[in-house]
Amino acid sequence: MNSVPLNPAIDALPAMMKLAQRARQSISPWSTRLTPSTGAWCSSVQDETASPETQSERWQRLMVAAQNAEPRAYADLLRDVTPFIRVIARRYHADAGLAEDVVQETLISIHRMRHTYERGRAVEPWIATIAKARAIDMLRSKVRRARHETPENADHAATVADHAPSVESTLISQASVADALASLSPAQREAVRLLKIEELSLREASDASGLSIQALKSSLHRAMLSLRDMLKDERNV
Amino acid sequence: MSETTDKLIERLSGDAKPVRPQLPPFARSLLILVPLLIAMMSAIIMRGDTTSVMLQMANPVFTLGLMASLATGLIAIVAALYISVPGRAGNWAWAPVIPALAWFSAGFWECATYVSDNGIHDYDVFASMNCFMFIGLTGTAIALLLFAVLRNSVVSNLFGITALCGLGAATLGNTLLTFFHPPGTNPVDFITHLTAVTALVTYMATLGRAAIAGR
Repeated sequence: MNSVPLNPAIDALPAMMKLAQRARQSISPWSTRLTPSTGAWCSSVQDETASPETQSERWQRLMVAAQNAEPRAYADLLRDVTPFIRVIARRYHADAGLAEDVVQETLISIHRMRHTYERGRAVEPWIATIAKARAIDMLRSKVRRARHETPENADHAATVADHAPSVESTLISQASVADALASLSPAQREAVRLLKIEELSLREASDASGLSIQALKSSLHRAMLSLRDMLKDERNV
Repeated sequence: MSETTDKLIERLSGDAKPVRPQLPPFARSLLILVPLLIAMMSAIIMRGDTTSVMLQMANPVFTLGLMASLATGLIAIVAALYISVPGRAGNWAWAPVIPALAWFSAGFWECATYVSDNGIHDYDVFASMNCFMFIGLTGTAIALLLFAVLRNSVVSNLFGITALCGLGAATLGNTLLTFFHPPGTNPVDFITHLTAVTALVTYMATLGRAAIAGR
C-alpha cells in the first residue's frame, strides 16, 4: 500500500533526528577538535584536510611531554583535564568545596602516578579511574568524619562564642606565627608549608620539594621545636 | 578554576621531573613470573619428589588439579598487574575464576575418591599443619615480592588487586607444595590447603591493602 504523506514534517523526522545526533556528537568533548597550530578550541565542523588534533590526541601528546618533564606542556595538560575531573567529582559530591578537594587530590595523584600512564593509550580512562578513586576516598572520609562528629547544639555554640578569641588577638597571634615562620631556615619553612599548611603526605611533599622523606621529617621536627620555643616566648612576653 | 587549584597546577608543573614510563602489564608480569618460575623449578629439581609426582600424573584428576593450581597462580598475578593500571579493564579480576574452580573441583573429586576407597575414619585435624606452614611461608614470600612491585603504582581497586595477589601467591605456594608432599589428597589435606589459601588472600586484602593505602 502506498503511504500518503500527511505532514511533510513527520516525513522529515528521521533525517532531522540524524542531524541532531550528528550535532550532539560534534559538541561532545570526545570529538572536539583543536587546531594544531594554536591549540585553541574550535568546532569539529571544519576543514578536514587540516588534520586537526583531537582532544584525546592532544592529551596523549601532553601526557608524554609531562612524563618527559616539560613544565609548560604539563601545566597545559593539568589545566585541560581539570574541567573533565571536575565533572567526575561533581557526580559524587554535590558540595562544590568537596568536589574541588577531589579535583586537587586527583591532580596530586596524577602527578605521583604519571609513570603509570602507558604511552599510546587514551588518557581519559586513565584520568577517570584516578578521579573516581579519589572521589570515593573523599566519600569514605566524609562518612568516617560524620561518624565521629556530634552535631552542634545551641549551648555548644554559645560556649564557643564565649571563648572565641577576639579579632585583635587573632591578628596578633597570626603576626607572631608569620614572624616565627619567617625566622626558620628555608628548608624548615618549606617542610612546614608542605606538611602542615598544605597537609601533603610525606611522599607528596617529597615529590613536590625534591627533598628526601627523611630530610623532610628532620626539617619538620626542628622547625616545630623552634616554632614552639619562639611562640612560647611570645606568650610569656 | 579556583585560585588554589591554579596554584597547585603551577606548583606541580614546576616540580615536574622526568619519569620512566611503567612497562605494560604483560611485560611486567613476565619480569616477575619468569624468575619466580625459575626459582620454583630450581627448588623442585633440587629438593622435590619429582618421581612420585610424575607417576601420579597418570591420574588425570591429579594432573588437572596441579595444572589448575599453577594456572590460578599465574593468571591471578597477571590479572592483579592488569587491573593495577588505571583505565585498564576491571574484567581481568574474573580471569582466575575458571582455573580456581577447576583446582577446587579436582581437589574435591580426589577427596571424594579417597573417602569412597578408605571410608570415613577419625582424621587428625592438625595432621597437615606442615602443609599450612609451607603454603603460608612460600605464599608470603611471593606476596612480599608482588607488594614490592605494586607499592608505588596502585591508585584504585586496592581490595581487588591485593586479593588477587594473595590468591596468586597462595596457589603458587600450593603448586610448589605438591612436589614436597606425598601425592594424593585426603579431606584434611584439602581443607588445610584451602584454609591456607583463604588466609593468605584475607591477610593480603587487609594488611597488604592497608600497607599500600598508607603509602
